[in-house]
Amino acid sequence: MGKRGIRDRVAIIGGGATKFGELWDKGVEDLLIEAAYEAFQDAGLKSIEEAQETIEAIWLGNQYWFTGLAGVTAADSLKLYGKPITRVENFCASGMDAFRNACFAVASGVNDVVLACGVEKLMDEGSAGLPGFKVMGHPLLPLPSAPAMFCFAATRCFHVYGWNKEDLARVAVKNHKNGVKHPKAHFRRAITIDDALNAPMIADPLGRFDCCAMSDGSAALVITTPELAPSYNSDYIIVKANAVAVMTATPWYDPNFDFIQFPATQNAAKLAYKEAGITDPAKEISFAEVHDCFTITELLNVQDLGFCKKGEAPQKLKEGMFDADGELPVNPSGGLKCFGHPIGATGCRMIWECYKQLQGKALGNQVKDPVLGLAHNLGGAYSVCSVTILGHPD
Amino acid sequence: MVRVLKGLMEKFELTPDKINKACYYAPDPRFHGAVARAMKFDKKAVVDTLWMDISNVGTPLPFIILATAFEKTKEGHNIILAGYGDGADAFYLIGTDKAKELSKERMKVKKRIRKQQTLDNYNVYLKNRYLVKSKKPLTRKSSPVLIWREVDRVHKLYGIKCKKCGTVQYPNWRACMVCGAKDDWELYKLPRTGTIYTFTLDHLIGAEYFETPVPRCVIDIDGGGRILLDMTDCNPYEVKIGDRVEIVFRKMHEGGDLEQHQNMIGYYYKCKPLKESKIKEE
Repeated sequence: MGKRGIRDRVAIIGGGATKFGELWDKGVEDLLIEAAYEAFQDAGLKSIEEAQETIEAIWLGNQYWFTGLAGVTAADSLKLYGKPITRVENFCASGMDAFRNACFAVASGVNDVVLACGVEKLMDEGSAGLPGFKVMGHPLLPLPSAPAMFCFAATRCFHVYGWNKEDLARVAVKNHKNGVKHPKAHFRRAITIDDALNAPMIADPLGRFDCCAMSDGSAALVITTPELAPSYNSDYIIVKANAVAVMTATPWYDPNFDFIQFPATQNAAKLAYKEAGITDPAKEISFAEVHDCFTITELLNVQDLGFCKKGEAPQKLKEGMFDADGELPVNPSGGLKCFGHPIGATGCRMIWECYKQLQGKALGNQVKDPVLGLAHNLGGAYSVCSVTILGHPD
Repeated sequence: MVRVLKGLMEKFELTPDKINKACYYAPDPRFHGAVARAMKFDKKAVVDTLWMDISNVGTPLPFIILATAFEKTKEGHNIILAGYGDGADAFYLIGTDKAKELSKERMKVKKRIRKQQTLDNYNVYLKNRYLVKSKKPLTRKSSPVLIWREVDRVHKLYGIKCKKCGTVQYPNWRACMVCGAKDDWELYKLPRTGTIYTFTLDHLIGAEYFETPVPRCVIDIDGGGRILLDMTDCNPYEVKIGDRVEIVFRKMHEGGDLEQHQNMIGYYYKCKPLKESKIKEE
């Protein structure tokens, strides 16, 4: 690791997010405009002229080619021309990787104020699972659906840890309960364990309620240095760490892969904890937004992030440790499961949620007196993981 | 049928008692018996048409019967082979020990037949054979160039054995997946059997298939290496961790994105349950 890192060198001064959901009446332009302008307003940039003057560069996270290619997606939507704009793609972790790149610009001193944002317009492509699987990958070697990839882990965890479908269902029930309170969440409906258990099967053992929503949405963050931050927004939040770890896209060819832990998460967490100086995450982290693309993913995330011991996640969940008012709230927003998952937007949305929580201005469940918030974004077949830790200025 | 058989036997001056193996087409067992009686073949010489196992499969039937006959053919055996349709044709073969030797290297016909999974739905058969129109099947881009370049991994199912750390792995990466050593390996032909490490029954991409759910299995190949294969010829709901599977070559799809690739057929591997046949190898 470099000597300087980004700890305490980047501040979030503005954040915005659209409502997530089936937004038939909105296109990519609408989504980006809504999220970015909310962030501009929050950062004290009152007009397009001010934004034009202040925002020096943009990093845009989006995964699918049909949402947009290149920097023009942001330039044309926001009409911010003539600036360095880079599209970032890193599977489902694209959004948080856009944020990471934006942080580097500020931390290095190249730019003072930049925008990190993410957007995805999925619903136009239909809602029967993630689109594009027909044209991606090798023409002959099998490519499992996204749920199937995570089923490999679920099947294995059932076998090794003795977990069952009810353990998975509890994740869905908790996150739906949390999402009900969030005005920007995709679903605003609580479910019962029976609802989850009786839902149609998507890929054994994951049923419909074990899978996150396909959504449209966008989220944006304006960042600067801690020195400049107060002049824009006195209620700014500090980036304590950010790390990305990349493993293989095809873990099923790795003879040593055990499918009961995700090394990408473990590696990213290790780097992030080191940078933030965290030694006991279960005690030091106040709350977390983790990548619950599937219920099994959340159970493994909390273990891989060190919130509990291996194999104990279902028990800790059952005891209420991860409830919105629990010891370590996980996905108080409702998570991907209930808040929705527009691929490229999710990473920025998680950071936006942590930012609001730390300000004490959460739109949904407000976590009590948070000190450190963690956002965890996972992509591919547990291939790419990004972990961000936010905190208050010292 | 009787006319062509009689013609053949006259031509080669054969009498019924000289025939050791009579392999001839018959649409049903009654016809089969009637021909044997008319020709006065020895009962032991008449080779079964496998009616009870495979019914009447038509054109390939005489050759399937001949293959079973080869399994018991000895030096000097007189074999006749006859097909029948709009007309008939017949052949006279003299056996050598090589016939039995040849069939020793291959799986016994009956065993092979009994290893197949019976479809419980005729519609599935019709769709798989493109005999009825249905929702367009999953077609992914096929590329002759890619298959030529990757023939070792795609068609030969070669992996590598790392010379540095000894890990057997699939496919044939340039650098070892475990220790990272570059180009320091030998090609390794993977055995065709393995054990399920984990799996799922995929309904989602499975919606593109004719039968759902499709078991997608992560397999520990015997002797090392991991692979992900779809399972075929199985009851998906019986799949479990630890099941033994065999790896079989299958047609994956037809056609490709490009106009000039429309006639391409994409072949790759699937797995199927390893059924230990009750028929003993002789």
